[in-house]
Amino acid sequence: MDIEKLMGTPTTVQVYRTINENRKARTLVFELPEANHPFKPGQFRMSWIPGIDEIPMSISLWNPPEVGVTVLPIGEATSVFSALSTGQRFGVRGPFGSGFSLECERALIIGGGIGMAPLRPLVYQLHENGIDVTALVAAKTKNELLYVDELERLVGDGFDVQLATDDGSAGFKGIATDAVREIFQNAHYDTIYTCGPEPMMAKLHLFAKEMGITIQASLERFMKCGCGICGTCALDPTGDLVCVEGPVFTGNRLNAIEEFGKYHRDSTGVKIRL
Amino acid sequence: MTGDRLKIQGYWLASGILGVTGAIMKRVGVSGADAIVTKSIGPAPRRGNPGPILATSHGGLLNAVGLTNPGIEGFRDEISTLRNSRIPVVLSIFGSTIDEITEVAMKGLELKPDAFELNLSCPHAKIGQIAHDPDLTFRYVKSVKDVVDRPVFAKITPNASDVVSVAAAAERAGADAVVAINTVRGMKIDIYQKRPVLGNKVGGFSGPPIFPIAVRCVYDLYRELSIPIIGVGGVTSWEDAIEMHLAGASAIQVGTAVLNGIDVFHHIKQGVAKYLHDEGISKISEIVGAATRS
Repeated sequence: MDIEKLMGTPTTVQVYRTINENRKARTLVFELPEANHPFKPGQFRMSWIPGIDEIPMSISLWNPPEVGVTVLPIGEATSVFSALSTGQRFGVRGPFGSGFSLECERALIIGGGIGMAPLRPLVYQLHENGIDVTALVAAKTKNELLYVDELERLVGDGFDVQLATDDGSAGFKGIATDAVREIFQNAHYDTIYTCGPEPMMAKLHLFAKEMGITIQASLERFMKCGCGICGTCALDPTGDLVCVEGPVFTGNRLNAIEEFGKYHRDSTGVKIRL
Repeated sequence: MTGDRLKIQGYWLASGILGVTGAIMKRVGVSGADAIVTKSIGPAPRRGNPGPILATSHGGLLNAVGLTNPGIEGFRDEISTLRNSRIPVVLSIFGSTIDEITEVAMKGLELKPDAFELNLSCPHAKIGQIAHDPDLTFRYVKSVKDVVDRPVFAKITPNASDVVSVAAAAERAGADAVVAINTVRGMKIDIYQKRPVLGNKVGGFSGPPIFPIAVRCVYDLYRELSIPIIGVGGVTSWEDAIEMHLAGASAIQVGTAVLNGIDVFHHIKQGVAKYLHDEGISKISEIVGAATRS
C-alpha cells in the first residue's frame, strides 16, 4: 500500500503567474513537476493555503507543465488563496476523483458561475477529440462570466459558445435551464455536461431525463481528506464518496442519490437544506 | 448486556475512518466489515481542526481531523440508518470531562448501539491525556459503565508511558474489552514552506509503520489482562491480522488501510480463512495470544 501516492503525492509549488479572469475570479498558474500524471477533466486537487486551510480545487487549466486553478474569493481560505502572487508557495495533492467520461457525440457544456472552472479542460479535450461542442457560460451577471473572450476566440468548426445571465446583462436573460430549453429548440445534443449551483444542476438533470439524453454533473460537498478516508463527502443513501466515486456523476447515478438538489452536510456533518 | 449481535471477533472498521454518515458506514458493512465503529461523537457539533488534516511521512499517515462530529443529537439519524441494515455498530464517544462523556453515553444509549467505545486517547485534541493516567482512565470507564447496560470498550494510547497500567485500570473499572492502539503522536514539516503541514501541527501517525508498535502493545496487554483485546494499528493484510491475533487480539480493527479500498475487509477475511485451513486450525480463538506462550 503506497500511502503517499494514495493521498495524492503532496507537493509544494510556486505561483508562476496569475490571470484575472473577471472582476473577482483569479487563475493561479503553477508548474507541477509530476504533471505527466494522467489527468482527466473534472478531477480536482486538494490545495493547501499555508496557515489557513486545505480545500478542494478543480483543475481549470491543464497545459503541462503549466497547471492552473481558478479561485473565486468567497471565504477566508479562497480569499487568501486568490490573493497569492507570483513566487508565493502553496501545497497541492491529487489528482482525485473520477472525472468526466468523454464518450459522446454532440455535447452541451453548461457552467454556472465558478462552475465553469472544471469544464474548461473538458471543452478543450472534447474539441480536440473532434466532438461538436456548445459551451453555455452562465452567471448572475455579466462580470461574473468566466473565460468568455478565450472561448469566443475558439468559435468555429464544431465549437460554439452561448452566454446567459440572470439579469440579462449579457446573452440570454434568465436562468441557465431556460437558456438550455431555447438552445434545444434549434439543435440536439446527446450529452449535457454541467457544473455550478446544485439547484441549476438538479433542474438540468430533470431536463435531461425529459429529453432522454445523458447528463454528467460535477457535485460539490464539504471535503477534508479528498482521498476516501474521512467520509465527510458521503452521499445519501448510496454512500458514494464525492472525492472518490465523484465528483462527476451520471444521470443514472443521480437518480439514486436522494440528497442531490435537496440537502448537503456542513463541516460538522449536520444536514443543511439547499 | 445485549451482546447477541456483536461478538468480539472478526474485522471491524476502526473509529475515525469514514464513520460519519449512516450511508457510508452501511456501505463498509456490506463490503465485508463485521462491525462498524463510528467516528467519535461528543456532546455538541464540532468542526475540528483547519486543514490540512492529512499528511504523509515514511510510509504512514498523519491525521489531525480534530474530532469533527455533528454531536450526539445530530448523529441520531445516521446511526438509525446503519442499525436498519443489521450491521453491528459500536458507538465511539468522547467528552472533555467525566460528566460530559457520561452524558454523551446516556444520550447514546437511546440510539441503541451494540457497544460503546470510549475514545480516551485522541492524540490531536485536548482529551488526549485521559489514557495517560490509570486513575483518570478508571474514573471515565467506571462512570460510563455505571449508566449503560451494554459492553464498554476502552481505547488506549501507545503514547502513555505505562500502557499496561492504564489498560489494567480500565479492566478494574469494568471495561468489557480494551482497544489498542490509538495513533502515535507525530509531525510532518514541509521543507520548502518551512512549517508543519497539519493545520493542528501535531497529529496521529497510523498505517503500516506503527504495526510493530501495536503488536508489542497487544502482546504486553494479553499477558496482563483477562478481558479481550481488540487490536488496531497498521493492519493492512491477512498476514498482519494473523500476527496480531497471535499477539493476543480477539478482534481486529482496520483504519488507514481503507485508503486502498473498502474491500480490505473482504481480502483479510479470505486470507485468514485460507491460512487457518492450510495450518489445520479450526478457529481463530485457538491462535489468539498463542505467541505469548513461548
